[in-house]
Amino acid sequence: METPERTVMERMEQGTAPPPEAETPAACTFEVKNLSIWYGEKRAIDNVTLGVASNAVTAIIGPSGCGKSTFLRALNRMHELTPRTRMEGTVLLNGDDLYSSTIDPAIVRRRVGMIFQKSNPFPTMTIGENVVIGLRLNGVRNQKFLNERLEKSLRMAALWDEVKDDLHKPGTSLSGGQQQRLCIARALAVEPEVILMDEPCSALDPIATAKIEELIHELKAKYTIVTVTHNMQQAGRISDYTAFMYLGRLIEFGPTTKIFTNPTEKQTEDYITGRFG
Amino acid sequence: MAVAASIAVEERSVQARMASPSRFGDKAFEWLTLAMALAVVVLIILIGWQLWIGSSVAIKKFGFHFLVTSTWDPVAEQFGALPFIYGTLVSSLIALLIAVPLGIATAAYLTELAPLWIRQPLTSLIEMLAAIPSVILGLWGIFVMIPWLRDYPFPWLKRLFGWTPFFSGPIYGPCMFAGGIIIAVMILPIITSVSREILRSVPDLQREAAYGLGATRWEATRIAVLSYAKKGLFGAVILGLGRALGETMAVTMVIGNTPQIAASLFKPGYTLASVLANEFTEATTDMYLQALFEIGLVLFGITILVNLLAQLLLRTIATTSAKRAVLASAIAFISAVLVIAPLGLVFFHLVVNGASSLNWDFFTKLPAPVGAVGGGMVNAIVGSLELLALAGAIGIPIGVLGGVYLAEYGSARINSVLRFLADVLNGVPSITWGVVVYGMVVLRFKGFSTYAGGLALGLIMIPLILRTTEEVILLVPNGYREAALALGVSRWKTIVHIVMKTASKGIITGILLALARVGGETAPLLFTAFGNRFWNHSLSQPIAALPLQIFTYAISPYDDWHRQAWAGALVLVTGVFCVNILVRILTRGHTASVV
Repeated sequence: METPERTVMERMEQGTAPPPEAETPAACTFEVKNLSIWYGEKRAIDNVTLGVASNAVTAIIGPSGCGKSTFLRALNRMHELTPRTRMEGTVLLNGDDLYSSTIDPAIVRRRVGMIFQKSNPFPTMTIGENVVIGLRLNGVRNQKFLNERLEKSLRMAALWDEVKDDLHKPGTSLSGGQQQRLCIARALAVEPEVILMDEPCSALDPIATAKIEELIHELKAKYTIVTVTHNMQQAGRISDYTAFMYLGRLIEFGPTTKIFTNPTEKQTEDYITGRFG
Repeated sequence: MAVAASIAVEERSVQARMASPSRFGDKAFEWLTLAMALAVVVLIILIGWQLWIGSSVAIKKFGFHFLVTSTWDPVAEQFGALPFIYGTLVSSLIALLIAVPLGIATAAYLTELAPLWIRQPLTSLIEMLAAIPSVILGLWGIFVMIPWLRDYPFPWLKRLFGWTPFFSGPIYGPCMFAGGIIIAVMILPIITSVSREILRSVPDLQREAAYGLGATRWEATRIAVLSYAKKGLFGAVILGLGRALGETMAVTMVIGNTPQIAASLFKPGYTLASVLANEFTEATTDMYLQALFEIGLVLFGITILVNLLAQLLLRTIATTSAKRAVLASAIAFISAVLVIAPLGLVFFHLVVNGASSLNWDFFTKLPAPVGAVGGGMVNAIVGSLELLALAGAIGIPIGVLGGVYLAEYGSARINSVLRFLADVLNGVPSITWGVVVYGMVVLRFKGFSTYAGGLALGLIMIPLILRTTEEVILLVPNGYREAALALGVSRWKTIVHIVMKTASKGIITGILLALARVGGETAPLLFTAFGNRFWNHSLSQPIAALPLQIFTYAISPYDDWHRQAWAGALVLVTGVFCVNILVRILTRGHTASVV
């Protein structure tokens, strides 16, 4: 498992790796093959193939409406919440077909956590309840176990020291940045294999943003992270790989350093240098 | 060590649990809520079917003549409904003539002219007026309004307009005109609040366009605002008409209850709803009962048509940003005062007459035997609570879960049909529910019962709770649903534990309002719960209820019972208002929080 992954990453870093669809499956947490998604008649994702490297941060960039959020949501089947969606292609998570007819979307989402643009702690719950609600609603009753997970998750989300004395306070009493980290702790508590982040910092001030970025960097050791961002500097700072999407198509995908310094495609270069459109 | 081991075991069992699929729960919950939402369809069919079955023999025997002949003679088995149809239409027309100008002018005052600080309290007061049970307004009508009308405005009207047929003849007191006035008081709140919503929804652009053409303030109002809102205001009027046609208790108590067609408004009349209220329990022959069921069918038919029309007119109004209408401010202000005045007067008389008759016996003793002085209404108070518990057991789960279906599941088209039917059901006169439950339960099981009363009230609650639940659940931001689903929580658990919990204050508010509304209902209990002077020992026996007892005592010939009716009314209205105030406190916190 380890060896091929390293080789692929090294090759990709050197810029000599072939396009990701040719990668060996073992290197990637997600393998997306020929993914297309329609909202009614409108095609939001057009035949995207890409591999998401394990224990790395993959950023998806592109102008608004390019399908980056839809792509992210397709990785844990959240896009199905929109009525009249249709998909083609396959998405493999560590080899399992996420769209197999025998798999419950709820199971997919337990394995693939998600953080949203606007922090959304449940308003009727305390900080502590917010963190363990995912476990609790999935039937976990052992209080000792829940307490353990609570502390572990909050520590991983770098929030424990700030809230350990206020666990009984409402989740909504925290500041915006703290709320977002609370949401991260909530997602971590169910121990997913991957964390998806949909513009996690776009509603935060620079200081809170810096904290989240730092957190993303730390979480990488344990989790595979896919993030959508409209902020190219952020993508450059936090990600190992970058995918540029435009009009539902994947234009270019590769190591972040290469995408930002030496893009292959003219469209990518135009976008990252601000000459787009 | 032991702790670590138990955690490890727990870890494995958690992993097993987290991987187990839970689709059954999702399907089951969706089907359950769908079944509850379909209750509105079932109820509409049930009403129509029950009324049709109950009156099929009469329909066959009298045919179209039932609607156009005016002999109502139960002894000779001659039944013609024309006087009742006439009385219903005329009393409703009088009510509209009074309530429409007052209601729309008040709405204009509330949206534009009133100082900002007074708008909210005034609106709340008008909503309180809507919460006064019909039977209490009737009580006030008998003992306060009618004597006053008879002594002052009626003689004056007769002097001025006595030469027309409308105001000729002797003045008795209870009459068509009094019936119209009391209905006007009953429908003013709904006309005012719906008109207010509509005037608020007129976009600014409309008025600015008129100003741009050089219109004055009044011209802008007339051309832009009122003409823009014309259709919606007409819808409000029709909605008021729907209520007026089905209004039962208050009218029954003041209209005189004489089946005749007379030009003079000072003569007594009779309405469809009133004849049901008065004669249903006296119907001794099958044909008499059949004829009354047919009256119920006619009433249901008329109100449902009127309500359909109102819903269609109101449907097109998008309630968006605020805007205002301007009328001559003095008229609007006086209208507002006139709308509020009945509330103040009713409350004043309730306190004056009721408080002096309230004593410890009232809350602890059974009613005194006929002719004896003293006694209390403890059985009616307990009976009302029992009926409410029963009604809640039926109405709350069906209404809440049905509302969840409309908000969370279902296609847009099906939902709009269900929503529409629920709105139509909310316009069905409450006495109709009494007739339907009479046919369903009382006739079938051969006796008035607590079950029947509770069922009638419960059925009324269903569409009320369904609509408020739907509305508050739709207010829950989508982010919470997504957050829960992204944690791998199944859909139904997300709805129950996250969405409904977030909306719980609003749902409880809807439930409380529905309980307050049916707690004051009399008409549906007249021939279901029936009333009882003693303790009720079994749910299959008749039971007393506070509104019923007030009605019985109010129309009795004994002074002591009149005093007790006032006391009962004070207790009932205090209960209803307490719930309303509680709701206001709840919803205030509600708007301040996230949702």
